[in-house]
Amino acid sequence: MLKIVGYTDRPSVRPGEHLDFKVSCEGGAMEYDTEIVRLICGDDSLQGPGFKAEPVVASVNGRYPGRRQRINVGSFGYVPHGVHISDGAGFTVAALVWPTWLAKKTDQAVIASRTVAPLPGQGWSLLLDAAGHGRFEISNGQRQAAVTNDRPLPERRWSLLIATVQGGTLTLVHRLLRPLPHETELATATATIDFRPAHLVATPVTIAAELEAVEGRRLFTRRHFDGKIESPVICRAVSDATQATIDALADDCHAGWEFALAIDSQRIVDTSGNGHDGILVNLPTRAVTGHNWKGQTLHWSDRPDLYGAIHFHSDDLHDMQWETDFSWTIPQDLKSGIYAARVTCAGGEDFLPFFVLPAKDSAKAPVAFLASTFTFLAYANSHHGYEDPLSEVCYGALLELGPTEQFLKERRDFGISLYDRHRDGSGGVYSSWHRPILNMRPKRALWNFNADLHVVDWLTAIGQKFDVITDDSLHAEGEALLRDYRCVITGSHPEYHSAGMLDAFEAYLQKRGHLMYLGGNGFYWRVATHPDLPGVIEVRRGEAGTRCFELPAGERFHSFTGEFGGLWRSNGRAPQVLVGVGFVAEGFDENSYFVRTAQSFDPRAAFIFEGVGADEKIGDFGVLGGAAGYELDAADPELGTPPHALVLARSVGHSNVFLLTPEEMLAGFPGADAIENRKVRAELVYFETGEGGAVFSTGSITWAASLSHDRYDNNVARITGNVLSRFLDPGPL
Amino acid sequence: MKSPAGSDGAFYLMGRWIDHGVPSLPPFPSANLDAQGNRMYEIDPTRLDLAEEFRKKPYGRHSAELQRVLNRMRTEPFEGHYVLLRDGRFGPYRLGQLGASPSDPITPTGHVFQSVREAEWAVFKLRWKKLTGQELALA
Repeated sequence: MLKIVGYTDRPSVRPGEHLDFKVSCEGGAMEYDTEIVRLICGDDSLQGPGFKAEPVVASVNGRYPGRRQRINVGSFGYVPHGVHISDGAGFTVAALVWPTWLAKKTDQAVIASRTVAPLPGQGWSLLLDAAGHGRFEISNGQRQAAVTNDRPLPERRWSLLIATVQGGTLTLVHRLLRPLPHETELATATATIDFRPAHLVATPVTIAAELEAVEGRRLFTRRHFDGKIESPVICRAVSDATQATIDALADDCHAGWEFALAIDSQRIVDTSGNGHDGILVNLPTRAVTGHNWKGQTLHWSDRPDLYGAIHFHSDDLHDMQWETDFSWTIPQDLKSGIYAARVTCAGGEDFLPFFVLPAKDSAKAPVAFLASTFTFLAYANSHHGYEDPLSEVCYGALLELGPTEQFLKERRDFGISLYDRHRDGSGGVYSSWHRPILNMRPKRALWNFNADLHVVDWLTAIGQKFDVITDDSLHAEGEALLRDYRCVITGSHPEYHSAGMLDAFEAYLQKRGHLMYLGGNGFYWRVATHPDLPGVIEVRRGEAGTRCFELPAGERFHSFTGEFGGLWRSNGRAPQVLVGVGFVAEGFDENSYFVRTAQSFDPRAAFIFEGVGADEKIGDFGVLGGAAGYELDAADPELGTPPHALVLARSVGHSNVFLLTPEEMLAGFPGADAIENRKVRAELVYFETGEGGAVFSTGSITWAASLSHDRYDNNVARITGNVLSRFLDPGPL
Repeated sequence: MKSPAGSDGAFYLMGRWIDHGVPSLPPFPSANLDAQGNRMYEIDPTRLDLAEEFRKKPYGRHSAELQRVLNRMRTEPFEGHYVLLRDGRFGPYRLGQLGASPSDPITPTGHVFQSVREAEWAVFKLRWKKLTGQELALA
């Protein structure tokens, strides 16, 4: 059990800006200590360079009272000013429903209107009960009546539920939209109600959950629904619900929400004309197919009317909305870098990372290290390692759950990553910064954030001045963020990029920019963001690529932007065009090394190999066992590697566990592993660009983990240092 | 689709039964059938050389036949799948088994290891016994 965890309100700040810190003492500590530190190296393994952090004198350092902060996980729609239903008046509630997780065997509210105070529970709920049967409940706060159908709804098929309160009778109709041959289309149930329903005046309406409590701006909910809901309506009581259609009900209603409107937002629009618009909480999935979608289009913006559903999940999470424990104004003289608030309590320690960019008008260092904040978000609090039965055979090693993974396995309320399936089996497409991201920490597995600190450690060890910039700031500011730097260096795994980021790199490289891509599997997936949702990314994985799930047909265009999702390779901008190499293989059991190619002796590359012997194994050492490993990229002229690019070195000796990526295999065939397939290798590539710029790519995630070997005196560090020195030299290449 | 009597080695294709000459399937359940009755790769319990190869080198390049053994072992069903629970920064490691679904808790087996390599060998032996029905006769 982790004793203390927290997060900052955003990843990237500049001097003079405020940053809020939110902390929860999960173990019940009454107080905790805070110290701001500058992170240099997070690798505390016995074979690594050691954990390195410099304390920072900060006004916020000190002791704070501890508390455990609440979380409300699960998405829902919220209409703050609901429908006025007069004392004793009849009404009908209806919705199209596509449930996805009946096996959880709990009540699941489809649409509800319940008071939380002063007399809680007044109102009604249309729901699925624990057995998956349609059910309608109504209560005056003291007495309750209910009606339940005698059959469950089918999973992942559309049903129409219509509940009517009229006089002393409750009626519930369940209609199967496409009944199978052995099924009856309609199921009807009735019950009597022997009390007068409460007089509901503007009681909030919730969709896919029931309201439990309101604390300030925070809403707490229960009975979450998993699945798709479409066209929920509240209208006058219908006399014969067995004849009603959802369209007819919506035509004359007190309130009716048309989810096909404002798909690219968190708004739900009431089309009744009565102004009962609402909001979505915790990022349910939009731009999903509705009951009338039959493959007519794959793009929601072509036919929004076919995308009138929203997919809600009981483990959706946007913003934990924790109270702020302390705020810090970044000092003007704080140098750019990767920082963290180190918070400690009895038996507990956490680091709340954040990235300090230089002030916009300040002098810049010659080098910018680009922190892969979009990649960190994509993997945030990932569960897939221990939830995917194929993980062990993919990794080639037993699965290991450390304290963080054990904590996350128990705490689904910390949200999922873009590698995880929701509990109902559907894939995650949104990820948010507004929660503790517990796998983005130092002193843990060497992957992404913690592995990238190896680059920061090396830059620090060689005395190179550098600034830190981030994916999110590059996405927001474009090429203007890069243009002041002689050289931009990536981390080990810069996998996720937006179109704007690629545009920025292309413009930078055309203007004497120099890029050192010190990783693998880079520039791979397309990311979307939304101006109303800072700190959130969306990834719709498309038809190809190494994936943990396949999104449903027709749901592969981003809801935020309307852009087609998936690989950049599938979007006409393969990474080979930008950095000369692209993802070809992965494996995680044992890493290897590079050997030089004939092209490494080209005079254009002489500066790269100064001090490196012709026959040296490059990177047959390192914290992760070798500089060629985990995920491998290679050149491919057909995919856009520039014709003048030099393939300088190639990795060898990978194991059976290293396999071609799916997009490299048009059909399955024997011999796709590193032993038999020559395409399973990493390649070191160099080429010149535009007006004097250049790109150097290592094509391997584990390259950076070899930099510190033998006190930073090794051929990986030498090659990397040679390239950096030359890239910083103002003379022509 | 039920197979016609006496043709367990047949499969149904394009509306007719095809006899592919494979010997009749052993009665279910069997270590070499999965939960749906699909035939799985069968580990030869006499191939102690493969076990010895794994013990010497659990990670990295393996012989083709050892890789088949490992693929069979590592694709065991989700329920009961062995995983390691590390409570400290660098160990020790408790062996556990996954529940029926991802939301179910992991059940510790009681085995504790000081290193991951030690755990790999112990799990290899456990799986060898489960899939061959025989104790692995290597120390």
